[in-house]
Amino acid sequence: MYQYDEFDQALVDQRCLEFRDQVQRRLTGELSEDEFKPLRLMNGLYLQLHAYMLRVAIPYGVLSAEQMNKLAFIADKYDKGYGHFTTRQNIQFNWPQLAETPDILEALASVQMHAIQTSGNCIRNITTDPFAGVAADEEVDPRPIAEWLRQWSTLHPEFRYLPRKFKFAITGSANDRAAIKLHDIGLRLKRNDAGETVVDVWVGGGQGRTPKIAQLFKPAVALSELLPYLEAILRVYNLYGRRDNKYKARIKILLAETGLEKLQAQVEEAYAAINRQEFADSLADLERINGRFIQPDLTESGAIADAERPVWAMRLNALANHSDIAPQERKHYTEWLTQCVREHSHSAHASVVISLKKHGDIPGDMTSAQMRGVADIAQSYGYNEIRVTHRQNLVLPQVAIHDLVSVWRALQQLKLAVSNVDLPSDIIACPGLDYCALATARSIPIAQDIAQTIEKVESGAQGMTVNISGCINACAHHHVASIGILGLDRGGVENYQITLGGQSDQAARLGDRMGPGIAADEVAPTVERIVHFYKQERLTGERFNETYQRLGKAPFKSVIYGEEHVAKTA
Amino acid sequence: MANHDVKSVDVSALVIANDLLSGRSVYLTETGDWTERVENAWQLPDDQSAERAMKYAKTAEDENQIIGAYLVATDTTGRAVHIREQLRVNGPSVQFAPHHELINSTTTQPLSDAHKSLVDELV
Repeated sequence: MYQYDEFDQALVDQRCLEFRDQVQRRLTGELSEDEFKPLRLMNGLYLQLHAYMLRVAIPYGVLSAEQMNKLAFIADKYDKGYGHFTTRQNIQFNWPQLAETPDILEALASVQMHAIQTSGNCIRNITTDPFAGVAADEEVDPRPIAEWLRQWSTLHPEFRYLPRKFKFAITGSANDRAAIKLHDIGLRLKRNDAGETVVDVWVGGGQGRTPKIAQLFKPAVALSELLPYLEAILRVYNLYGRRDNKYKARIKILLAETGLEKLQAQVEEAYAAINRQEFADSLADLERINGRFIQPDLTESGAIADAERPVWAMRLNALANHSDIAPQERKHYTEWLTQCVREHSHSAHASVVISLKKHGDIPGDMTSAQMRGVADIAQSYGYNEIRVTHRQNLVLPQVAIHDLVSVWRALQQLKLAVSNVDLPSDIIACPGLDYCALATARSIPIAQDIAQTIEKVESGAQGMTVNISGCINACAHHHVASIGILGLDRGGVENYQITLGGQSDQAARLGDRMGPGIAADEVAPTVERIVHFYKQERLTGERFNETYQRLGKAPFKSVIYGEEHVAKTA
Repeated sequence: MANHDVKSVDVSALVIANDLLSGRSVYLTETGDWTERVENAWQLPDDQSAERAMKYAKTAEDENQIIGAYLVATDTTGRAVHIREQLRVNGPSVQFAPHHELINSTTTQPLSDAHKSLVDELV
């Protein structure tokens, strides 16, 4: 993990002092709400339906056990004993009091955390692959690059008032687990023929009311050129991005309205004009950052990597038949190994995904006791490290394979050994109308209903994603789910549109809207019918989207609306 | 003004806002105070009383008691008409932190070393 240097710490400490003063001035009336609002938003403090909400940054989704314990402390002392992990790999607290928020920021700063740039029209938290640095298929570890970009973008004086918020995602694997094509800028790190790291720069992805898949803007940018090139993109966006209509202000709209070639030319012109002297030390900075990433010694656990890696499936099979597992436990343990344990680049280790999607629970929510329990597990078995995924789960990135049984038992006690990762009940859900001031419909109770309804039928529907957003802003990525659900307000009644066939990986695709929205109580049975139909119609080894593409919309519309309805509207 | 405010009173209305300190939903009472109990909210029967109530609210905003005051339409029973305001009044419709009382990390079993040797032979 990256460890702050004195400059990082001074920056967050200074911000705490500054915000304490701003809050004090608000409480005494020296600042009006109009004056205070942009200041609180710059520190992640929103006002939602029921209370203030504090969004805390988790840069590139990486947490230490100590930081997780601090989040638990904050949840207990300043909130209602829980937090909500988001699709931006952040955490939100839903019930803080205004006067206590400076204390919360101080508590965060004490463990090298903050809430800077978790709101506002600036460069937001940079997200990445939750398996960064450990994935067996990774070419380049994206974390140091993410930290490099975080430092470049934090309080960048030129980019604090962009036309709209700006989101980066980075991956270093061909298998994109960071949804880079759904971000304003997506970066794909790879090696060139000379073995050097180069970066494909994708621009103009995003969701919301005008979803777009990013376009390859410039391939194979050298690391020495990356920061000036990104600065050039941001500069052009800052200059030409629309400020007259916030719904048309993202770079995806600028790209669509300007055209790829013209925008590329504008960026090249801006790039040529950049004072390169300002970036003379950028590679040295990256080197310094690399040096501040403390890598765990994976031999500490006593687990030795095999010279010849056994096939992962064979290894899992061997683990599942372990003699320490009682016969009545074997089924559950095997399911957990299959669904929640991932191959690691070090053959004696694995990564464990902790599902925060127990059927019927709130997706992404975690109690303070669970946070402390996971921190304990990370300290005992996971080299102190935890990751947050954009699917609102957690990852223990490195667990010695000989510790998996112990981790499973410890997670069971926390009610977190839930074997539904990458199954349809592993639902992404935004807070929706239960919390969010922007929402038009509830998403959490719909997600709970779906998960409970499909629990018995979802087995084998691997990779079939269900994402539900409570408004058109698409915080839950409904456009890129196998089954996307969008909650809307139709004359004061919640109504849910269904899209099918979306995906967020390297073959990113927007889902197709099926037809008119359906009532809240119809959503779960509809999803159940779709899962049934897919399992019935799929060819061997076929994923949901492949079945959907092969069969086309029509049969799925019949499943959703009934054949009679489809015939009438044909 | 929020998106869901009403411009004129059909049946009745009340004034909702957020308390500056806590951020909690609060309602204007007939005495000009603010309460978290909706049953004590001032039910406004017509546009004239709504206008008067909003003047109180503006003063309270200027005095830094509350923020974001607006009128909410209510039915004959005084219940908010729109689901958004029903949720504001009643709180989230979902039970948060359902395992908060159930789990205490101090009950986590001692972390076992015994598994290591048992599994080592398999991997």
